[in-house]
Amino acid sequence: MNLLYALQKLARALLTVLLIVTTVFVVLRLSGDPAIYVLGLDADPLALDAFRHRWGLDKPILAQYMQFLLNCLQGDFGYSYFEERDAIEAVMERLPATLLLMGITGLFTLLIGIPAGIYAALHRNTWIDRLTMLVSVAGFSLPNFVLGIFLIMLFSVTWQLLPTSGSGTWKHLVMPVLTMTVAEAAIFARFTRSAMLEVLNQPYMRTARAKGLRWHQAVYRHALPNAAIPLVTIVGFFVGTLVAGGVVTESLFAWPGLGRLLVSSVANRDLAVVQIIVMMIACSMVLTNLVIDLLYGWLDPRVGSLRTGD
Amino acid sequence: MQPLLETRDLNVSFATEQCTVPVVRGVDLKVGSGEIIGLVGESGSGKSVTCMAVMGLLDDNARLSGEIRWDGKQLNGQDDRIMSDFRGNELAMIFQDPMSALNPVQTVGKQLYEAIQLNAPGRLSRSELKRQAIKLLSDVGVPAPEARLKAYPHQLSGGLNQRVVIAMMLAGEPRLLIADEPTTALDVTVQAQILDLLRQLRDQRGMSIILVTHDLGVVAETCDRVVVMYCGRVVETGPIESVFSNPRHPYTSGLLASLPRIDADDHKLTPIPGVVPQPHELGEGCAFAPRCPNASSHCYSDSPAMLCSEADHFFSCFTPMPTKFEHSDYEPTSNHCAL
Amino acid sequence: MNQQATTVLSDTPLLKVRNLHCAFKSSKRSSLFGPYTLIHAVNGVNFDISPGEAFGLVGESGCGKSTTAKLILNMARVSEGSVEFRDQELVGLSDKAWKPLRQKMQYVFQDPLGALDPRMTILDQVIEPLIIHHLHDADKRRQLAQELLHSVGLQSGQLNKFPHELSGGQRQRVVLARALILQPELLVCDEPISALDVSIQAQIVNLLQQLRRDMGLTLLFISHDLSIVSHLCDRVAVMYLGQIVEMGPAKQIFSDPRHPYTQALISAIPKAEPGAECERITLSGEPPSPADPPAGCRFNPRCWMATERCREQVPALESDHSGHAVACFEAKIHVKEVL
Repeated sequence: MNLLYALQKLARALLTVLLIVTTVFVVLRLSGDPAIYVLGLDADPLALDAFRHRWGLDKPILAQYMQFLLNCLQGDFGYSYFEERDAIEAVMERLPATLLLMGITGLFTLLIGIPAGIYAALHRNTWIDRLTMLVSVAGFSLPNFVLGIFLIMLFSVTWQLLPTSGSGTWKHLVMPVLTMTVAEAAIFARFTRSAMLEVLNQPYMRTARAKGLRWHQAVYRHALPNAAIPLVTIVGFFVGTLVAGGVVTESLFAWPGLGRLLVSSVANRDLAVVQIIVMMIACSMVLTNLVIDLLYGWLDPRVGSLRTGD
Repeated sequence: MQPLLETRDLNVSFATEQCTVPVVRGVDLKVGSGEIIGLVGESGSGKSVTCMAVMGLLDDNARLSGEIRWDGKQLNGQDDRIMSDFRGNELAMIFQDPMSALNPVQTVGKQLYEAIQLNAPGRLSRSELKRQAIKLLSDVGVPAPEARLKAYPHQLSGGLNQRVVIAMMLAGEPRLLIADEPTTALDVTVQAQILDLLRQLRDQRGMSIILVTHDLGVVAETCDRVVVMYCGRVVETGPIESVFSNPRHPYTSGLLASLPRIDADDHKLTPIPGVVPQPHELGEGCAFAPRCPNASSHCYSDSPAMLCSEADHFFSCFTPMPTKFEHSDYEPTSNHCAL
Repeated sequence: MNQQATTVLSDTPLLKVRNLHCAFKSSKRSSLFGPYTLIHAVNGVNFDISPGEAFGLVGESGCGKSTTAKLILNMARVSEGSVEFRDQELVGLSDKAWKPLRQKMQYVFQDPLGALDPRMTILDQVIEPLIIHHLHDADKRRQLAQELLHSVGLQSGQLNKFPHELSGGQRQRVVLARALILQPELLVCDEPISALDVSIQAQIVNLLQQLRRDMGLTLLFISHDLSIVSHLCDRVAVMYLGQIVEMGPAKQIFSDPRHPYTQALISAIPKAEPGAECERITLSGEPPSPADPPAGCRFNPRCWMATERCREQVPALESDHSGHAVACFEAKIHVKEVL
């Protein structure tokens, strides 16, 4: 990997963020008048005008956009009409809860999905492989709102072991994490298995055995590093599905995170809050993909280098 | 003299969902010390599977019977732990496509160090590993060996990668190297270099080599003895001079007649008609009978035994090609000879 | 099969290739905003093919022989130069203008399985080109396809099979039939037999020869296998790193190679005659990357006769009275001495 490769990737990432910010800005401005949402349909026209003037909503959209970008650069991300405070404050308040949920989910997903996939691949066509794949298909075919409601009925209603919603104790975490982990781990297990199988059939695995490595040594030293390369790609998708699943799961379990805030802010046309959350999601996706690209260059020497020949 | 490697009645079949497919059917093979054996055959002849069986690297769904003997001791059925110590150390193998035979995400150096360490009595220091790796690379004719240690396989050409694989396999100073189509993926000028290298390794180290190939030209220029396989069986074997000048099995003779020659004047190629049968289509008789110009009804029902043509030259055919007497005054016999 | 059965070797070439260049950008830049590295795959190639002639293009991987074929067939972009087919300029023609030409210029590539649609029967695949070019009615199409498939050696029972049910050799026969159903004037074959088993290769070579005779085909035959080319072709061009280094009548090229590269190439072919020790010229190293060709004669770093002049100037391809052309300073001195 070289610096040139890294710089190219970074420049592309920044451009992507700008594009997303712009799109979100335009779409939100075109999707309805916040003044009416905040003040009500039967509000005084003068009050509506005053509201629009106060927040610069009466200016041409291009001027609003330039102002918005300028403000963003200065760290001013707008004002929440609904909560009547700086939008960034409202968002940051919810961020830790979401990060906690996603962090734990991510950890469990990787810790369960990847070993399960490797194990299945190494024991290909045995009953344990078939069982793993059966569970995996069931796992990712089940929509998370169905699974969530099922869990609530089982653990909260029938057995009364866990609280249905809210946050605070570890018990509150169990069901949301379980709901999200099942599907994600299932996908990881499947991908890991096929990545491993692909690698195990490569000629260099035969070479590794021919030079005297035992099976487990060959797997550990030669198969795993190569199987990691395609896996890294799906981590990018993983972050995306985690965000999407998070919105549903947070709403379902009334988890006080960004997902729930996003849903309510969209309903209230709280422009600044929606904007920040979407920007955060976009940035985290772009950042993930940037990290993945750089990881690629690190894991796979064939990326970002020329065949030098001799 | 006891051969270094011997297989007796080696059978390998693969179990699929529907049936078991016999791929190697009663192969007797002998490799002496310092000998280069050419194992010739087309796709489906079982030549590669025979080699993988010797290496103990068959897939899990393979069923093996018969004996593989190394220095008189039985090799098949050994624990994988023992076989792993054996591989690389006594017995090594190189493969067809050098570009994919090396781990793409590790440097050439790292892969060489691994092989050297595996065959070292104790833990070696970094500098010792490096010294030995450079020596191995220069032994196999890699130019600027020290600089190559930091290279990744994709940065080297096919010929260089094949040399690196050979160097890696030499780390344990094996007594037998199995080379499975080592030059098929390479250009003809590079092929000549690699074949030169193999001969040189035999001459300098007394290493035995099994050279698996479909190219009769490669065999003629490189090997001492040739084993011709067809559909999982050995159909003819002997010293190359004898087999090439006086092929007795119609398949060997057909292969030789179908080769275009650069110096010959407009001779018409005589192809072998028909197609190579699939393993599940094989019956009791000689597998070559449907394509054989000499086949009689006998050939379809019975499997021919090995017959002796000249000294050390055997073939398995009821209706062999006629003998030519140019090369020896040896009386042809049709006595059964034990291999 | 009666179309164009007149194999008149006229003076006007069927295909005229002049100063053909193909350079493409590699995906990597030399610096952040620097230009992309240029890979000059074909660099100033000139040749003519007369009607009814079999012209061979040989060389090692990366020499540009396949790219040359693709340029002629409009499957890669010509950077510079001209290709004329029956005095019609092909470079720069629109796709629409190409369609009628496709009928006259057909091609066969290496991998017959990849070239066939796995979900279409053999017969349908051969009929398809007729449908695309709106030739004949349904009954006539079927009849023509059946006739042609029989003449390439397939039996009636095989016509309704799918590609995966056939062997490699049979598939290549189907590919040939599909190319020939349009009764092309020029057939471009790129390594048509290298994916086939040895005993099958001769079948296809003989078939090509027979078809050429029966249909009056003009053949551009691309291969790394010199013995096949020497067997099949009337004239041969040897390519090295994007340039033709030697060209002439096949007999002369193979009996009296003048370019040191051709000499090395021919001497490197393993001959299936044990003991027929000819003087082997082993080249050191491998062809350099076309992204970074050496100055002067492109072969000079590997040439044992290279002089100061070879490292500075590029030798032109110059022909003697017999049409045997060579691009080498040293070879010409040798020729003069002989004369």
